[in-house]
Amino acid sequence: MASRSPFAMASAIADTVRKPYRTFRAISDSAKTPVGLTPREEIWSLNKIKLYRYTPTRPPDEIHPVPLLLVFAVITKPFIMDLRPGHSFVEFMLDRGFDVYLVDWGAPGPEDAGITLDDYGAEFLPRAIRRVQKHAGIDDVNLLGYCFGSLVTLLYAALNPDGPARNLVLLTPPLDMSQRDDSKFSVWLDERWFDVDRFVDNTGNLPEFAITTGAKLLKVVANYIGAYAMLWDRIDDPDSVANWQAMHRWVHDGVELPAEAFRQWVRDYLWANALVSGKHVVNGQAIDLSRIHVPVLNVLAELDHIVPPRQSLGVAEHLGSEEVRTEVLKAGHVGIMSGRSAHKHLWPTLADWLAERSGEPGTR
Amino acid sequence: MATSNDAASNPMETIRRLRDRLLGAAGNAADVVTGSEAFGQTMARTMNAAAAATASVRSVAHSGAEMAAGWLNIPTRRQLIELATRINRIELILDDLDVAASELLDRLEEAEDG
Repeated sequence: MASRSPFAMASAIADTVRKPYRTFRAISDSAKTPVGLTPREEIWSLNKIKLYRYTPTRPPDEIHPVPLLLVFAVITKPFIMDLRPGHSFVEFMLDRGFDVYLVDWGAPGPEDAGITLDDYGAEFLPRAIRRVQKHAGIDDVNLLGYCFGSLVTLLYAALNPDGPARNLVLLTPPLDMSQRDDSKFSVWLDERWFDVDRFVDNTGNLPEFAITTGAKLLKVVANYIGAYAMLWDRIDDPDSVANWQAMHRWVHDGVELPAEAFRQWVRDYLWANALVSGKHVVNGQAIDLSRIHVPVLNVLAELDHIVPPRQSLGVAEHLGSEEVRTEVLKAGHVGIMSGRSAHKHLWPTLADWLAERSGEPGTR
Repeated sequence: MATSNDAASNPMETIRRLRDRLLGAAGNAADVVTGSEAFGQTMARTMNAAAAATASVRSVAHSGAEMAAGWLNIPTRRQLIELATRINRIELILDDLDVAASELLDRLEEAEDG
């Protein structure tokens, strides 16, 4: 057994005694931690929705002509894509010569209870896209959807197969709900015991705390204990602490989901698997994913417990695109975008794939 | 990550490793429990019951608030929500008009240039 000097032991004990205060301080300060700092300009708003254009960091002759529109999930805030300087997907894409736009769905109020998921894809996203087209002065737009955002992106692309979407990037799309045993949400919200109509009729919009709690219950020990143990272990590393605080803020800084969007997701998407069954109708038009023919990059997270990989694997099977590249990364649902290795794996993969399909830089 | 040297010099390292093993085991057990149909049923029934229980309280609170708003001659919550919903619809129409007007202006400019 190795000998331990009294000084080393005393130092370790003293450090351990100071740790609780520093850890609690880091947790309590996380709500104030600065996030989403990449410079941007609001170019359009509608109700709670805002469309931002990030300030390019490359000269015009180094920017790809086709802009990139980020479509994040409707149930959380999108700053996970622009977490903090040095750990920002938006910053990375700007540096790689992309003209980046972001649609922020905002926080719905009680007056938005009637908004469905279809409205996001058929009513709101088309409006945001036409503003991007106008602002960028180009018809084609690359769309990047993440989680529910990829569902909205697919809806839009199926309804508008002739453009203007040039390329689709789908991150962890919750597409095929037929494999129910993989997903805890499917078990919890099973139609045999969950009465979605009674729930929605009584609660209205799905409260933010219900979304956060539901997501955290998927990995209850990791989220309620493990996350704090990780902070405890890394409390001496300021960069790790800052990253942890930004993530903690994102997890706990959610938004409500409109009542009808929740009802529709449970009834049509989760229970009826309507998106892939071809039975889903939006504004009188049947959603047929095989009408989508643009190149698709489908990214799955192998350790995803929110959208199990099997829900996303069928993209190539259901879409009409000849070019569907599926990338499976060893990460979780959130870690895929914001984890410590995201800038080594996901971000360069996306940038390289899009760069080949977004036109020569400086040719807009 | 911690090394064997760290473990030798830091007595807390042993505790940390034990903790991680314990958390790993507890996490696996919790996954089994929360992924079970029994847990799903319990959760769903709790949500159903909570929705039913709060419905009557909510109904009483709403009718009380509406009555009070009526006495004070101020708009009720329901009326304000209806108004906000109408404004949202108007905003959609204005957005379409804005785009149409912008396109018209662009064409006029093109015609003038041409």
